[in-house]
Amino acid sequence: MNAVVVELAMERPLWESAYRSAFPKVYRGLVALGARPDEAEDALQDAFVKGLERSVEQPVTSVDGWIFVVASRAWRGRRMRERVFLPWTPLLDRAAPSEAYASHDVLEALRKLPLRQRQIVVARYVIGLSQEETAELFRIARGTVSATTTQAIAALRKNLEVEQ
Amino acid sequence: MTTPSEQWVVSQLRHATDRMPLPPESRWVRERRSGPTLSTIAAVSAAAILTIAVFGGISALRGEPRVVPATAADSFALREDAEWRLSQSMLPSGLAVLRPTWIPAAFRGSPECPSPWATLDSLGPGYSMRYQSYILPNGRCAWLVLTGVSKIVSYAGVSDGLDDAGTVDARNTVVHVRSGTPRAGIGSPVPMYQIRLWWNESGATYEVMSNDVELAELVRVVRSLEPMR
Repeated sequence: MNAVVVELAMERPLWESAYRSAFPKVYRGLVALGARPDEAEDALQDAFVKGLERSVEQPVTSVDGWIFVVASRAWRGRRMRERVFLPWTPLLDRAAPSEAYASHDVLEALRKLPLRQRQIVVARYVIGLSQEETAELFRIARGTVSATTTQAIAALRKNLEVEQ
Repeated sequence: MTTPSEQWVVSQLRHATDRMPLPPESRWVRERRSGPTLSTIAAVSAAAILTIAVFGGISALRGEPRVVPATAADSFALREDAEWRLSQSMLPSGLAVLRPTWIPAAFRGSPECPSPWATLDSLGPGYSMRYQSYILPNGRCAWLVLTGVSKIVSYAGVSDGLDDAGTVDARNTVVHVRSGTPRAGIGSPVPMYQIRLWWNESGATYEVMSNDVELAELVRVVRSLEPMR
């Protein structure tokens, strides 16, 4: 993760390099959130394009975090569009992304959490953002990040029936 | 993380995600399609001429000026409708989403500059819709952006390189005009001259701005705005 202020509106080769570096973590983070693999790829592509078009006046502190937030919104946006245009589309949130992924209990438990808790947990522990970076990217207070993380981990622990 | 069980949960999560297979690297960035062949250009040109002839004839018969969106069936209209509904659905109630009934036709997008894009600021108290047209000399897309935030804000005197440039009357209120060339960031492309119109309405602040639209047309966009139902 880049810890320095990065201007995303840079030349394409630089942006593509940063994007490729972030791809594995963000892809896995999106799938952990509940995206299907094909949806995660599409959402990441959306984020790549948005990075190319990003306003020059908006620096960010974490490229990985920015891509994750933009891609996760793009994924949700695509889901909503599916529902607008295809009202008969099944509620894909309830579908397991794939057999390979669904075998992990912790991911199943994660998908039972509210979206916001999932986003915060993935941002913190899959993408590797600090509390400050998470708060900035999600535009919430640092205390909210801390509280949401605690609640989410407690819920995960309960779902996994971890012995204290 | 303070307890062993919490650390265990996090380590399980990391272990599970690290095992996820990745798609081939060749799919991480989708390249644009190669340029069209002459036969393709000819076929597309013929189709475009036919389309213009048909819809031009219909417009002439109806005797109405052509505005955007042109027809409910075209892909731009569908995309525009979906993006605005997406913005509206993600906002807190109480903020009127003002959607234009007219925009300059060039801002229906192009292959390099798809249009429009909702920026999906669903976690903030506002919306932003970005229409785009074509590539400008600085290598970036020309844009026309409409925003709304659910609080009263003043952009007068903001030190961003733009100057306050008077007011215009529209929407039964005072619409402030700012214009100029914003300061460039390090490594950024050359910034383009911008015009921004902002005003307060019903407890909210709205802004319409562009880096390639004349003031008169921006005012027309502002006057065309209607609250979404």
